[in-house]
Amino acid sequence: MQLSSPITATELLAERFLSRVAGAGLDHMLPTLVADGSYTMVQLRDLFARLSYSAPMAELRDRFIRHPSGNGLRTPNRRTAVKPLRELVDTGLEAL
Amino acid sequence: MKTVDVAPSDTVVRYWSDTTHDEHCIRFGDDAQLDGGGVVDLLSQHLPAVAADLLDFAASVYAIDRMVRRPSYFGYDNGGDWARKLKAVFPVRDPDRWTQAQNEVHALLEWLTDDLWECTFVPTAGSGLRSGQNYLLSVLPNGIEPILFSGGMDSSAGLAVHGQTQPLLPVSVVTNNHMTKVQRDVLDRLPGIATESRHVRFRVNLSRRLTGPSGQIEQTQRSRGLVFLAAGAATALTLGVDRLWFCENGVGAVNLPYIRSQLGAQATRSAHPRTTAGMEALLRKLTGTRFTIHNPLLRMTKAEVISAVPSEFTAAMAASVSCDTSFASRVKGHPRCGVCTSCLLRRQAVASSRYPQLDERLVYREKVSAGTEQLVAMLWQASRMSDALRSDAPWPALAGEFPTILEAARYIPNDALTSMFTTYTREWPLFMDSLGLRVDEWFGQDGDRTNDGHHSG
Repeated sequence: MQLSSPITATELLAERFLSRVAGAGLDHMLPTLVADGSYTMVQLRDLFARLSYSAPMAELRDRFIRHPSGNGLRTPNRRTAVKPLRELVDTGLEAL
Repeated sequence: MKTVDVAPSDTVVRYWSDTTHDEHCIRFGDDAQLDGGGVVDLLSQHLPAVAADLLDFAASVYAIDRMVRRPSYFGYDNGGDWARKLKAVFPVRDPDRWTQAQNEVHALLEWLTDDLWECTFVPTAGSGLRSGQNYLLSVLPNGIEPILFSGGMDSSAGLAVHGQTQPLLPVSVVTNNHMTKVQRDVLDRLPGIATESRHVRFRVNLSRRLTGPSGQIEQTQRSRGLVFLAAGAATALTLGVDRLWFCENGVGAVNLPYIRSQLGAQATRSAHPRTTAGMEALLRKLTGTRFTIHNPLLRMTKAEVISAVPSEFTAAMAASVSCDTSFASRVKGHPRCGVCTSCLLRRQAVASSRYPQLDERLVYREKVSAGTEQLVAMLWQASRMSDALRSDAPWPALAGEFPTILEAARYIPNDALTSMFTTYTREWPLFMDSLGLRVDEWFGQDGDRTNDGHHSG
């Protein structure tokens, strides 16, 4: 990403900061999750990467820029719309 | 053995903290013992005042550090409340000089411990130690310089490699008898380089009244390295030399966090180049002259350090102990645990050194496997390094993934750091193979196996 404008720089800084905070939380769990065989390290690396670039993280970044002190900052709502029963029955657990 | 309390017995250090608001105190000779018998026997009847003050100060900081519990060991749980606010009054023989060095004192302590320190210095009420007088200095070779010696692999290797060309005087700090025995065993296996009779040893002990029934109130002991450095510096000042050797491999000295939840000094900074630079600055302020702490292993991995040791001294390397828990262990024979990060780093380094059989006789208390959390954390770090170092711009990528490396880059060139960590990541697969771990399950399909990881020495 190029530092083409003040807002780009702000977004980049916010993204980097949130990535560090998320990384600290995720890494805290990692040794246990790998050691107990729940995941391989490669699987967790993929999961962590997907999480870092997910839509809720982008929204959290925008909210953080609006609340840089952290006061009033809220996590994005979970958007888990209720699915019809037939769709639920025909959908694999991982896809939910 | 002839012993003497380096600190006057009536020295009392008062301190306060934000977690224990009442005034507390440490009475030397009663609550804490700093036994300078090793120095007195070998070097001088009395230490120079600045050296004695340095030892008292370091031992006092260490005692306070052990006695004030951190609000939370994993500060991240509660918004980073791992740090403490500590205020202490230190009796010293030259309070003006120490007061002038207050900025250097605070900078060093805050970097080492992550705590906020407010140190003030008052004249000691004790009789004090008189200035140095020549004692047995004449029996030591000309040009001899002190080297910190823990009995671990790196300090033993430093002695073996550099003691052949430069006369070196081992300086140790011990807290128990087993540590003393290990150091003696290593020195006995370094003929022509060091002997137990020319070994300066300080013994530091705190009373149970101070440390609680479990032996220690606060376990992190981030100031422990300060006692070690102070012992070496005090010996150098007594010898009248301006250089102290401190041998630690570069990966261990820089000590990047294994996982991103390790913040600040949670990854110990005892041998970090900024720590030694901070100690140099303090000594310069206290003595008015230049002082150097020299680490000749700073750009080498541990495997490279082991490979550099001449073959006639491998028995000394095998006798050294790297385990974090062996010395304190109450198990008969003090076996190494085999699974702490220090044991694992040693095992990784030995496996890729030119002496892969070095530790083959060792029996560990625990078996290492894919389920060993410390190993997982170390491999997580190595795999993230490997990714960064294989990118088009290795240094920015490494600094982006491990921002604390920038502290080390003030003292070690970027390309030297990049090269050292590249070597380090390439050493891991050999050890992983020996454990039956598949590299691609840990480092991914692109895992770095561009060389065999072996060092020829």
